[in-house]
Amino acid sequence: MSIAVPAPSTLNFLAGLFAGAGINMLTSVSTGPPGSDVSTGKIALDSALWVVAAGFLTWAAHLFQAAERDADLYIDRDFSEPEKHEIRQEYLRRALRRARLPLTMTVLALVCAVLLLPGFIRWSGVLGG
Amino acid sequence: MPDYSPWLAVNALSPNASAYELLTAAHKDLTAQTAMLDKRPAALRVVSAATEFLDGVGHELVVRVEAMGRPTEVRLSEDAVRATTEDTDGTHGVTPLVLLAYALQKDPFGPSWRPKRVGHAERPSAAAMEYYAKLDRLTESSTKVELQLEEGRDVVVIGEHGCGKSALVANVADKRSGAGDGVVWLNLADPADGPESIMLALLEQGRSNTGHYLVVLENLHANPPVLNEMFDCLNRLRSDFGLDVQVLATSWKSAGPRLAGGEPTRELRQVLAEGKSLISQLLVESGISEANWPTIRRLAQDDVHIALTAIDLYGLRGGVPTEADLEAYYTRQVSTDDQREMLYRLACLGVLELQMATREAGQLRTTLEQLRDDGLIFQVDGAYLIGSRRRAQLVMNHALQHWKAADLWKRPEHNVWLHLQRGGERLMKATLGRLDQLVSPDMARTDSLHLLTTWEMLIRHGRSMRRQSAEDPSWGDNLGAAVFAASALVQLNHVESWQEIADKVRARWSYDAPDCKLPEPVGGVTADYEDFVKIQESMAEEDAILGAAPHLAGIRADELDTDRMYRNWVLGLLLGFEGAAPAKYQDQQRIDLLIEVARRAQEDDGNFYPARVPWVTARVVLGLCQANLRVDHPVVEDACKWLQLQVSEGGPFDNWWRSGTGTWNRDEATTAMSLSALRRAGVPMRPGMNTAYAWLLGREREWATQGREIDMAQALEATLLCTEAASDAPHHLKTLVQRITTERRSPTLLRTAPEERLRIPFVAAQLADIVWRIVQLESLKLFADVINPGRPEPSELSEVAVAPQTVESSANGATMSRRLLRAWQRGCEQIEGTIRDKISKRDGPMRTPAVEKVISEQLAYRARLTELSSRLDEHADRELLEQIDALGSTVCGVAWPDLPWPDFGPEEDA
Repeated sequence: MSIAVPAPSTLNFLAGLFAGAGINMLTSVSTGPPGSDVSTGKIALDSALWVVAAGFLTWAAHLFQAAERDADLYIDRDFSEPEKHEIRQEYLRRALRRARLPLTMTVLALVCAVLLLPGFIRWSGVLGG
Repeated sequence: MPDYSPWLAVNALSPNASAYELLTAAHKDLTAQTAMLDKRPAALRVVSAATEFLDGVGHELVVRVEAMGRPTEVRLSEDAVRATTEDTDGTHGVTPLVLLAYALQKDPFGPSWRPKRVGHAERPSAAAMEYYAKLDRLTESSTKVELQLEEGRDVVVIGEHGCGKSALVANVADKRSGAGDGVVWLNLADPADGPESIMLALLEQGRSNTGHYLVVLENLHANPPVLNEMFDCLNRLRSDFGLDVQVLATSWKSAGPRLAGGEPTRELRQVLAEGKSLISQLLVESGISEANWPTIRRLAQDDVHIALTAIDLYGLRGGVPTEADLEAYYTRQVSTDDQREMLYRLACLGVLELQMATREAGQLRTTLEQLRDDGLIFQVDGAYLIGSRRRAQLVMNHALQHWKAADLWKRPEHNVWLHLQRGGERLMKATLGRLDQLVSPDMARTDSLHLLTTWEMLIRHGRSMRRQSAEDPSWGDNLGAAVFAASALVQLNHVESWQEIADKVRARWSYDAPDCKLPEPVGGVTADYEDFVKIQESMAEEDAILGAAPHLAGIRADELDTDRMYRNWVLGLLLGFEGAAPAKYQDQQRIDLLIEVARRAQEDDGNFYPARVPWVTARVVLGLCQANLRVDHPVVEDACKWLQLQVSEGGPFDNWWRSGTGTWNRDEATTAMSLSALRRAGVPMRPGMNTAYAWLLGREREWATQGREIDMAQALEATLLCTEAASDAPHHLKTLVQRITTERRSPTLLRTAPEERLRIPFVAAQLADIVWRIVQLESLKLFADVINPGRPEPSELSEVAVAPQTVESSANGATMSRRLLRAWQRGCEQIEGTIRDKISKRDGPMRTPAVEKVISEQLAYRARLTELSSRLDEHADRELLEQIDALGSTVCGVAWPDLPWPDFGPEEDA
């Protein structure tokens, strides 16, 4: 059975978007109109979560990239196509096992970051405050 | 001038003559010789000479030499004159002018200076110039050369062999000479041609009318070590003497990139000469119809000399000649065995573009002169040569096929080695320098082989060993040290030292009694015996580690007969010593006696006592091989079989060979020695030997460590013998040379340690042998075109098929020659190597089903190969060879070569 793993470049691209989102939030607060009713602390926490998600995703991308490199080093020119395919799959499978933690952490950080987006959920209403 | 004596006045002096008297007499001789020259002033003219006294130096002969109005002073010391005139046999031919030519060099006379023959700059003979004139055409290359020379630049014409470089250069030089320029002509294929030759030519030949001098340097690639000195000398002529000197040189194409640079920097403009364009012009002018041109081009293979001969033969016979016609033409009128031998030897040298010096011909000189007069060989610059490389190949091919030359007069690579040994130190250095840099006329080497460095180190070492040997020919009564030193000294041309050692060794050992079972020491055991006492102690330690489990061979240290083991080892050494004796000291009776002793000493299962220590058997096999026996001799055959027997079958082989002597002669050294013994005996690389070799390679960290030079030299030898390729050797050769050089400068040997006493002689002997083997392998590459003809073309088979079949030719089992068998065995080795490579690439952490499938497939191929190669011998049939061929194609793919096939006759279904 083939393992479908997004390419490391795609993961890196997504990580860049997440990091960009986090930093963008910080700059928008610092350069926005004064007297806003949104808590600055909350925004700082949210942007930090975006950046953390980006960090975990980059870690996962690095693991997949290393697996691809190791597979390339292992595979010789005279290997058959099935051998090449199986060896790559095996390396990716092992990398996926190692990438479980960073991927889970990415999802968690991302969910938290979305939930903490200002105006997305009125927490006072939800919590009855 | 038959009665001319160059040192008449000096030789007339009494031996006790003072320095002043000696130098005054030398002055007289110099004046006498210069007076005999052409009346026209020489290019470098001796203006005056006088004996002067300098404080702290003593008397010196000060000679003023002038060119273009600039006098330069050179000094001849008393030591230099004495060293020159002590050369009483006159073999070096150093006359007063030659000594002056030496003195004109920068820093000419060092403390160890000795006169050497100086090659005379001789222009090609009138006949040769006439021949070159036939090839004089206006081509793009000739135009470029003349243009560059007119602009005042130095030019080197590079190109393939036989492309007409020499003819181009000769014709340009002839024109310059006709215009009044001075021409100095050197052919660097003669190792004696060097900077002194240029100086000597200018001292001897008249001043040019135009003031310009053209120095022609043929074959720059032939002597790389001398190039820096040569161009230094040319710069000196320009700067110190104000001479207008230009260089016109020829060289192999592959040497082109290396000709620039150097010290001093060489500003050589390279012009590429192409045989194709010259051949086209020759064909157009020949009047031969265009339809025949492609055939002549194919025959010539871009060699203009062959094309010219083919055109001449076409004129004579009215048809395009075949390769066989050319072979017959180049060997025409050869009737006697002497003529055939000389032509064959010259062809062997010619393939490597080497020449035979007149003195090397010895008694066969008249034969050479006869061949020269018949137009079959040429004489240039005091040496004989056969012509272009392609011509040499044709003659060699003819000689191998029609005269059985390899059986009668040694194989081609042996002839080359003999030529190098007889040619002396400078020829050896020149050739090794070339081999270090260039693979062939068309291919340069990326990494040096380090042969020249190794050889120079060995020469220095040889001198020191010769001194040591003169002081104590018995080498401290150590037979091993004496035998290995003798072997190294012979290979380094110190033959007399071998004789001194032989006197001691032969007096020390007796083996001529009718029932002698082992050599008997005369007057007690030699110092080596001490080693064997220590070996027994080492074995006892090994037994203690093994504990209750007995050793593989079942012989415990306390059961060992040390004396018997020691004398078996001595037998191996003595066999090697007598077998490798120089020709003039070789005593066949002694060799036969020793072989007889070996026959008696051999155990029933083939080993030489003790079975626990396989290196003793390996040493005896090596000795028997040096005595020119191979695996077809029963004693060698039995010993080789025993060495290859598995432990389970009562032999010593357990994927590699264990020393059986603990830390003395470790497993790596024992394995290397056993592999060398088997390969030297002519045993093909079997799967077990491949496994052992792979194990040895894997143990590199062990045998390459500091202090284990003996093991390293043995592993290096085994590598060369097992792979038959020099590509892996240079790195280790360099390391070994560095270590031995350091050892010479600051010895760290513990004289009390027994094995240490033979370390240096042993490694020197091994290194000399390794250099020889690499030269042999590299020569074989150049001979490959001739020695390994391709597989018969299908068209040839179909031609045979229509011929009437005889019982013999239709038999499906023609006998294979040794050469063919060797080629197929090497094919099997290639398959084995490819399989091993494929398995090892997959032998990692990723064992996926597809990988497992490929590994099992390769293992099946290996089993099949083992089965097929065990049946491969001189009686192999067509079916077996076809199976091997099919397996080779499957495993190796396009890398599988076209192997030569024996003549099985037509196929039955044809």
